[in-house]
Amino acid sequence: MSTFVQGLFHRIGAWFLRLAEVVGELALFTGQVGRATLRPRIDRFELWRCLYRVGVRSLPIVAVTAFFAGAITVLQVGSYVVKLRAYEVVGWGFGFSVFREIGPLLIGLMFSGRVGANATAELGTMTVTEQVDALRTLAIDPIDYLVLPRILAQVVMMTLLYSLGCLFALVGGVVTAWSLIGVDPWVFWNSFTEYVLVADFLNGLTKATMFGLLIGVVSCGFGLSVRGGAPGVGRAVNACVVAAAVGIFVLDYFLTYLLG
Amino acid sequence: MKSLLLILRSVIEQTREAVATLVGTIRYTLESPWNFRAIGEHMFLVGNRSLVFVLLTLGFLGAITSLQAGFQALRIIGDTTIIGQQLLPLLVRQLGPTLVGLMVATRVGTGIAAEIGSMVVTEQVDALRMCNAPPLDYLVKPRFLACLVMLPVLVVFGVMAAFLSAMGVAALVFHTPPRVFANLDFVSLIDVGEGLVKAVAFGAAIPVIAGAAGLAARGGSEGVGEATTRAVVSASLAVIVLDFVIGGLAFLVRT
Amino acid sequence: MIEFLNIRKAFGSQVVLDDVSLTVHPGQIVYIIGKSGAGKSVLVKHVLGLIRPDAGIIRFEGQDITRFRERDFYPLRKRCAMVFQHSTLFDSMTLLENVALPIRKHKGLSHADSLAAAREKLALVQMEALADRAPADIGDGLRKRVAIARALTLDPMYIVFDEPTTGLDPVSAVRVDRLIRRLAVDTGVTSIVVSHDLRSIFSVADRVVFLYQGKVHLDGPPTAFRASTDPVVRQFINGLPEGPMEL
Repeated sequence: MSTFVQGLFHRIGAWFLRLAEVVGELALFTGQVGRATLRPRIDRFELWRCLYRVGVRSLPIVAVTAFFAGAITVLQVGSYVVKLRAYEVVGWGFGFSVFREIGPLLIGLMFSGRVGANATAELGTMTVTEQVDALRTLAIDPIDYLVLPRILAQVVMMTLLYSLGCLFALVGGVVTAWSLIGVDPWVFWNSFTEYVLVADFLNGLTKATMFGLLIGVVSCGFGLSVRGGAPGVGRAVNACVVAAAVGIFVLDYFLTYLLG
Repeated sequence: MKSLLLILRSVIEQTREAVATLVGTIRYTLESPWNFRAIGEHMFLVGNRSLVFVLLTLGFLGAITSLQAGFQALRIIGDTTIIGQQLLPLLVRQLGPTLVGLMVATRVGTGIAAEIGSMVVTEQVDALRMCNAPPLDYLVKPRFLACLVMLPVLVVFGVMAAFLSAMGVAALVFHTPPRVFANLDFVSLIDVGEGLVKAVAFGAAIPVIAGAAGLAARGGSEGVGEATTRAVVSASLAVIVLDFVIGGLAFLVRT
Repeated sequence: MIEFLNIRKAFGSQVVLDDVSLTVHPGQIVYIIGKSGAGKSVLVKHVLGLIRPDAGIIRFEGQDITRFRERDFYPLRKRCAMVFQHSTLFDSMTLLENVALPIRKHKGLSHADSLAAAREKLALVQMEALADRAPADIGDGLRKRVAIARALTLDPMYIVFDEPTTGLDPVSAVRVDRLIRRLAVDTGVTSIVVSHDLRSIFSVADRVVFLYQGKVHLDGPPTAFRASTDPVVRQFINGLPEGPMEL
């Protein structure tokens, strides 16, 4: 076998091993978190602090993202609408796209970037500066004290932010529909309320909650496993957002399939 | 209300910073020599290294959109044969470029900010300045040119992956024959143009924003973490806003 | 009483501890010394379970802790505290909250009560006035004192100090030494101190354990250490660049 082919196999093998290491570490971490949730000993102060910070930090960005998500969706639906002259359909097309798919997806990706990356950076810095070890020497379990509040806060916030995001998306949609396509807000609203079901919203809500859980676990997992100083923290943040993005898409696929 | 103003001010501040970085980088692009080795290296890092990630995520995206479109089609008109022809233009002009843009913003954006940020906090960037190698020229420019080229390439691959996977899902779940699905009739030149313009715009915005965030890093590992977070958020937001702007322009061109 | 029996620890191919045996008796102030990288910190971190030995046995008050799981160490960590080399205070809290955290978690006090109790501990190290500052705002010497206060919150019987005076200015260093001495005298706490600060060694230690090449090279009172004719010890004490110790 030529050295090139050998080298190729070697590289593929090495890549798989590295992937297995990362996935394995994350799986072990998920197990630890799972066990901790069975006998939850969540620190109330930390929980409130995390809820506050996650909310404050992510609300503006999610609001803006949702607004533009609504606007973009209307643009795309709009081209069909203008072609077919079916102006009444805008609200419906907008509604199910945003609620079921674009909403959870874009909000999830933005949340992962804003909150997930931040959690990884925070926990990573704490790991690198031995603060996590210091917690352990004080007989305080880092999972109970640091991880569980963060994960819970992220799950709660994603659910809330999705709901709020739908409102902002609606505003963005209405504004764009009115200014660029010339669809009257009332027409929009009517078609929206007539064809979009609560089921669509709940569908998206379930996705949003699950995304929150995923981002929480992944971000904390990568944060606590940082090695190697400042560059290590940067690398961990990178790994976190990448893994979260892949995870969101995979999860989205399975949820879409299951929830129909 | 006060926090809203603060946010607005920070957004304006960051946009100004990004535009300044962009202008500076473009100036160096036009004025000073290109380091082809560095550009090639970064093209590899951005393109090859992100390829699997892009193919994976866009593949799933294609599957998801196919499922959603199929479910809705069945619900409304009871027939799934039109999914393909309706989906492809959407992929080409919207979902493809935007999602690839977001994925690259996360992967490459954090990478650039982390790299440059680490260099800043370990004073390597100061050392560069001492050697008369301005950071925008030496660090940002090669990454900028690399992304400009690689992003459209990645978008093409991404759209292909999404389409193939959508086709597969339609065939397996809705029993839509691939030949019926793969209908290119509705993809217009404007769609392709829109997609490519978006890709290039993202390719310009992401390295500039991430580079600016990295160069503004202060303070050890905490500073690097902060810079990477800021990079991914600002870059993602820029992708979404640019998507809207270019999409809006394309919409007006069409009508 | 803490017993190390034939402890061996390697990181990859690097053997850091090679058959180390040592017994720490209650009430002693034991200094573990040696050049950088000799395995001092590695050795003492075994006591709290932050590091696990590759071979050998560790006993804490007669109990074999070698095979302990992380959870099993929690009761032990309430009896044995650690002060880290870089103080390692929690950046996200004030000094007062740093000290209050273990109190709130382990003594079942309310938030307000634990803050009050923390204030008392800070008073022991003369840091009460700066209680509401953030760790990043004060100097290394002061942070060290707060770290010691935090270590004292659960009234431990044993304290491990990892290089308590390294990096401190001479005045702060003497202050820390005095504090370590005072704690031992007032409360009878057993102190294990990792250090290469000769002045501290000769003014505070009851007993000196010199680690070299992964083994216990010398174990005795400071006077024996000072009087030793062993070339390695002489090189260390006198800070000579030439000698049997590779640099």
